[in-house]
Amino acid sequence: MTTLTGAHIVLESLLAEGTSVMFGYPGGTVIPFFDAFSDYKTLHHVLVRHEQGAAFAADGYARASGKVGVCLATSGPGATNLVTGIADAYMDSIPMVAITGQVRGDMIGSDAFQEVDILGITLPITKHNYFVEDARDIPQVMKEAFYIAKNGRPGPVHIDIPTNVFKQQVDSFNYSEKINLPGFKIPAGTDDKTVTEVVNLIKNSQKPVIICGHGAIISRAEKELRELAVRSHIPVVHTILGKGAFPESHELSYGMLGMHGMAYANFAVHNADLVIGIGTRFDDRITGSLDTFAKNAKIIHIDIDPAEIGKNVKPYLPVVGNIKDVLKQILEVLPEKKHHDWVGEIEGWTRTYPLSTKDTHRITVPKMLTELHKITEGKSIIVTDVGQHQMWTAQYYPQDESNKFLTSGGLGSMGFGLPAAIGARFARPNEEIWLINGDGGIQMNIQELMTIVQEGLEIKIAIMNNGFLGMVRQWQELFYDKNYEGTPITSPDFSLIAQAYGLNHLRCEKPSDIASTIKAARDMKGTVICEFLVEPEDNVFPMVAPGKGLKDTLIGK
Amino acid sequence: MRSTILLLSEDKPGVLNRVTSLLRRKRFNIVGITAGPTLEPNMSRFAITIDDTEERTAKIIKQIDRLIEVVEVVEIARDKSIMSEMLLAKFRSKEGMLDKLPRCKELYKANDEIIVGFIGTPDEVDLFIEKSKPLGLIEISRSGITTLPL
Repeated sequence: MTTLTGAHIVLESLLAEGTSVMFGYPGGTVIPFFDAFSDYKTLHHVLVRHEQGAAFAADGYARASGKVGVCLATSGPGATNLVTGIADAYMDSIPMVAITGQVRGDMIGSDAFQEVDILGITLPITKHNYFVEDARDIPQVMKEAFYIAKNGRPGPVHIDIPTNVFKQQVDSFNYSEKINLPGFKIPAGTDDKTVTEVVNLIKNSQKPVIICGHGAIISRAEKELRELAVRSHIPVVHTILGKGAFPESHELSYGMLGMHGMAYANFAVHNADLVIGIGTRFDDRITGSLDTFAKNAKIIHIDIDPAEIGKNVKPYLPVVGNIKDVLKQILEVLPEKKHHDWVGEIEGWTRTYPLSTKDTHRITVPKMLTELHKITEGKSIIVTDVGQHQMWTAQYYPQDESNKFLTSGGLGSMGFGLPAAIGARFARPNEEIWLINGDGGIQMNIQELMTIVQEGLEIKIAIMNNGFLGMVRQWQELFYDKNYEGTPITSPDFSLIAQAYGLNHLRCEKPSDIASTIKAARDMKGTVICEFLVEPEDNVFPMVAPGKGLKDTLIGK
Repeated sequence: MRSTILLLSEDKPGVLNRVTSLLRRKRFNIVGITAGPTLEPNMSRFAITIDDTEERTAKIIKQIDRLIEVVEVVEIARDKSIMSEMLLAKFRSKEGMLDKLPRCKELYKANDEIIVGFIGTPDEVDLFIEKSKPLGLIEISRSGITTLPL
């Protein structure tokens, strides 16, 4: 290392934050960054094939590790290509630091080559963003960016750095120890009065239900959540991002609720007299029509973000605080209780309204997932894309641990799966990872197959090939008179794709081969593209039609 | 319901943009906005007047509070605050005109034009404008409301 530059300071800061891997793509304004990179052997840069892949990979890394994911792109198109991944992280409260190069400071505003106002673009989709004027500010900015990204309700932070600042010489690197953010508040626990109110509401409830969301996982409150549910004998349903926070094999777990949630989970919420929302933002996909949502229930809403309380659903009792801290406070005084009648009622619904699948001689996604779950004993890390297969995976791959179901929940970004699985692989190098994808989703970021090859990664890729953009086709079937406009999709020959990329390929065409195909994929070393030719016109049920309430959950066709 | 939100923030570039961008995203119309430094170094105070429902106003205050630079944000009750606005008004000058408009200050005078300044509550400013119209009022510029709690 000869002279220290702004680029070195960025890299030193990354190391100081414990970053070991980042995902990026070079370009004109970030050449100085890559030039300095050679001096940092402990930091690994993963070259993606499209900047969107970098943002999704950082997102997947963060989801699987709980650490801050880092991505980097050049100015202009490189930066705009990150945008979907940043928005995805923002919607799902994923800690991420996205760094973009910018044109030279003296050229900003001149519509220079590859100049774009990326700060203006990321402003509404980041927790915060920074423009760095002077390399001497970098340590403070980096320290704050990581701090903001991971503390309180996590989210993405974007840092825009002009190329001259990367090149600017500085005397020394001193990482900031102090945070100076007078406006950044991180709630901890709540007050005793609120705790008493929560406990009284639980005491007086005959039909309580817990809706557990992503917040329970982010604050690592799995143990407390379990203790709460068990001690007070409260049934637990979860949002898609809350999957695994409470073990799904537990007798009090009633699966996912919402638009494609279990009917019994939806009925439990609809008939409850007390709903305890824990780290959920009561998204429209879980509430259905707000007019009829949990009308007979008093709602306790526990969340770290005060702005979420009352945003969609008006709670009877708002509780602002870190979920783990709040649950601990509650557990200190919570007495034991039983709700046998209520749990029995829900049990009845599980028998009357079980998950049902299409009766067909072909492979269906649920059939494949049921086999996968059996063979992997429900222990694989699962990454999905977006659409029908995503909902089916949430339904048919129950999990007992958190941070093992990686999916784009809030933004619903197709193309998420493959790059997110790459990120997850770096976070969890030794665990089994299955990517469940559709023929649409895989083609949206298929270029990242080469990133897998260049990095020598092992991911089991299952493509559920039905020749349709399935979820939209389902809506067209149900609500648009089967007008399948824009949804039939053709695919390349995936065996040739696999061959071209130097990957293994397996094709499964009949249900009797599902298990052997999965087993063969597991036995192969390296990445396998495992193609399942599935029933083309299958629908995800249960379903709450748009605008309807949870009580109107459709059970099946 | 018209309400004024008072916020204290770090004085950094782009804070006003963050606040107004947030209001646009949540579909609020800004009636008036004033901003300026405070006695504390590196701190700014913004007074934002909006006209919306009580519920939505309460929600947007919580959203504004999420902005990293915003240190404090409160809704200002009319009866527990001083609210003031400045008006600049241009007239075609007439003899004796200023006598009919009390409490204003002449800021500029040429042969045929006069510009006066007036400070008052928003209602007083409205009234001043009404009274001015028959007196040759040509153009106005209002500062927007600024406020301090009592």
